[in-house]
Amino acid sequence: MPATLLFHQGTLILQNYSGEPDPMCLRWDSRSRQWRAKAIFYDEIVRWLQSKNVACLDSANEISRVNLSLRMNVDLYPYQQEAVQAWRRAGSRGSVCLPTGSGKTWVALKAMEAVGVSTLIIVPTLDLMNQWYDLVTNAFDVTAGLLGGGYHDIRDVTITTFDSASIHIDKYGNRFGLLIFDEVHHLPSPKNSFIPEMSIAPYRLGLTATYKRPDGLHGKLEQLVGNPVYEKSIRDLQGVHLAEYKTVKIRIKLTPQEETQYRCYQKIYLDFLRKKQIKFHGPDLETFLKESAHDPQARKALLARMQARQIIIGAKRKLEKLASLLKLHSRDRILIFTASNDLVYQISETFLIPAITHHTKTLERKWVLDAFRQGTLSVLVTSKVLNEGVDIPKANVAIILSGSASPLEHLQRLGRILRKGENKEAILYELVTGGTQETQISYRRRQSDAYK
Amino acid sequence: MLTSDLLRYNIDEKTITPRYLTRKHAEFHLKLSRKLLDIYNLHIGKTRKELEQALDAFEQNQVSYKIVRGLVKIIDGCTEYAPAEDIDYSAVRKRFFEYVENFRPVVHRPDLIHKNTSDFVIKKFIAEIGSLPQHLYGDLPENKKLIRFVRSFTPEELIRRYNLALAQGLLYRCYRMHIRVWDSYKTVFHYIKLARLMHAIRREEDHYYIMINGPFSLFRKTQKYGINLAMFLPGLMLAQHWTMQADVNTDQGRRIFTLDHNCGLTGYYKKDSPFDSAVEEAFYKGFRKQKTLWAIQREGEIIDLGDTVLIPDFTFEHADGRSALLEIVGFWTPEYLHKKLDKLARANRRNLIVAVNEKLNCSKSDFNGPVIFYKTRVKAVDVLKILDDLLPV
Repeated sequence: MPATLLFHQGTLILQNYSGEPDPMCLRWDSRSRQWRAKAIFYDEIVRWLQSKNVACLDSANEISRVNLSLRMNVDLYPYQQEAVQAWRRAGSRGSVCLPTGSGKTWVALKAMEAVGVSTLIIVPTLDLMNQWYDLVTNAFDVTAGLLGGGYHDIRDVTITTFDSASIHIDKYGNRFGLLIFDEVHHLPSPKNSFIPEMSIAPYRLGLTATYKRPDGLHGKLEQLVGNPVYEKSIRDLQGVHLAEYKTVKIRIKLTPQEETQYRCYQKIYLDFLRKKQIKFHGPDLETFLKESAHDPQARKALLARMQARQIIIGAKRKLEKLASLLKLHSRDRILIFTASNDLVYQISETFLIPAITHHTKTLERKWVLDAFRQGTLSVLVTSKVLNEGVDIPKANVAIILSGSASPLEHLQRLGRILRKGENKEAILYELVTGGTQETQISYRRRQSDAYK
Repeated sequence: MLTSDLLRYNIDEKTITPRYLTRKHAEFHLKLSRKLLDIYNLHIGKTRKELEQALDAFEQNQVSYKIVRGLVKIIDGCTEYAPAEDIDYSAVRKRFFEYVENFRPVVHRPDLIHKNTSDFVIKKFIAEIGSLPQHLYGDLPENKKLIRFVRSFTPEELIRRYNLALAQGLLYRCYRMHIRVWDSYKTVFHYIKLARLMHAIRREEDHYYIMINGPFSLFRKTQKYGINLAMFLPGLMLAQHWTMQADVNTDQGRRIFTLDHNCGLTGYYKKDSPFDSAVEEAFYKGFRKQKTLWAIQREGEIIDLGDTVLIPDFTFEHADGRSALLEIVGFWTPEYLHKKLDKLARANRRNLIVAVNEKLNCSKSDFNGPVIFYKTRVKAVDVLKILDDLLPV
């Protein structure tokens, strides 16, 4: 019997090989009495077999060749072309780092065309999954498959989410020759890194606007996807390819009644922290949260904190300001962001504006986004779900009502309205409740490159 | 199953143990369970929001919200919700928002230029286009109505499920499990395979030691198979006599979680008949009636083939020390038969007798060892004849 290479739940098994194989990635598995390697080492093992002239039956590889020629003629921007070339030169591996709104997806579609193999596209959210589905089926003459959001349909080109892929990759890791990771900075978590590790795909492309992670884990990406091959910052492209934008920050005061309530809740919370000598950030706060499970005092404090935050997020005058901004921009395309789902639906019902949250079903989401893109709808209110990269070309006004203190998140939200319109300047309004914890959050946000 | 934040456990230098709801406080917990089930029953036909408010109000006065939420989680997993009204909300919103587009901006305080309030627009829509549901988002989870219990519990059953879920929850962070089993090997391996796990086996006196993890565990101590191990656990509980030791990752390092057949937990997988088929059962009964020095036992031995196992249906032991195995190959699909023949060949045991259904179109040359062909039943005398001819191993 000749040596045989098998794919087994995200690993490779070398069977009927007499002797000890050279590659260090192959380890003896005393459980099944077989040589076993992580699937990511497929390329290395095949090359070693070839160099040794070992006759080997390859039962692992189920990658298919796919004719992926773009149906339209696209003039890529020079930076997009350069990005594709750089990626090809690096052996069709590695990450491309371009700001949100600069057309990273075209880089990906060109890359798919160039290698022409079965492709798995992995994205962070169900919204992005739907959007990529539209993109792929428009660009190529293929029926794309979906994995996630209730779909389990694997095809030569399949789009999935990080969550679904990390669960199912051990079944399909031998079907795809190219992996495309949208927002690749999500990859280096213990759960997500199973996706590249359990795949045999020799070609890998990472896309992101923010390659660097605050925790430094982006170093792992080189092994999982390849080196960064091309990078342009938001400032390199500003004015040239993207619309100009300005930011307007509006301070909102709490009403006297809200102020009193806020102080009252805040006092309960702070008094408790002081009593227990807990610092505001870091592990202490986590212990505090855990403690609240059986300490009624701690739970009371935690509830007070949540209620205080609720007052700030839903400040009455914020909604009044929003009302006047809606009047001011009655001819513009407006996107309203807020972190709280409840507030999204409150705004939706008060101003009769269509809403998208993580509860919105695939078809309705698609309808709303399409209508917004085409101009049949002019206003849209949404919570965090649209945070990353959803392509809404015609928005030129964004209003942030509340947000969390992540510079990454903020940059990506901002990127959403950075579209080159017809001499249109994009405006970002930020409604911040003055003299409260939100001012601090907003300050931290501004540390990112986009505001400099 | 429970989410990680709802798990309750004790942890010391070496071990981690679920904090089960025990007999000690049985009365209190039964009352709590009954109360929660009552709240659910009272809210059939009400929205999830109303249900949650009632649960919140109840929870406020409870000592440990974790128990309450844990029990709620178990109940909720067995209930069904439906939208407030039986209409296509998505279609209604589409029609409505497209209509509203003609009246932008909708304001809540009209001025000289902007006069369209939401009330005005809604009334106009109803007059010109059609009705609107009471709630525009009646299909949101919080606005959905509780319809029914998919499966109803007694308070005792609820507590049993909860306790099992606590044990399964600790396994989410398990990277390796060690079990010892005295019986029901086929059932146990059925569930190991069903959960896509791998094994390493060692015979220990009158039982087997089995280490369980997954393919990738070779490279990294990973919790990836924790959920698989949690699903396997009720399968293990189908054995009569077993012990389990799970190596669990915690923030403080490795801790050990142990269970055995006396733990008082009950699984919810159904135990199949101990026999694969009527043919096996009839043979077993027939053989027991024979006067012979051969003792028969069901599933007495596991033959480890590495990536899989072969567990012959019967083992025989003679007073003089001889032993043998019997595998009955009934009527199966061609693929199954092919796999079975492959397994038998790989097992390569001299004393492995195979009884094959005639309909399978096999010949003697397909097998290495002794073969019996049977029509409807395997006769004890035929097997005994072969057994008596066996040489000492």
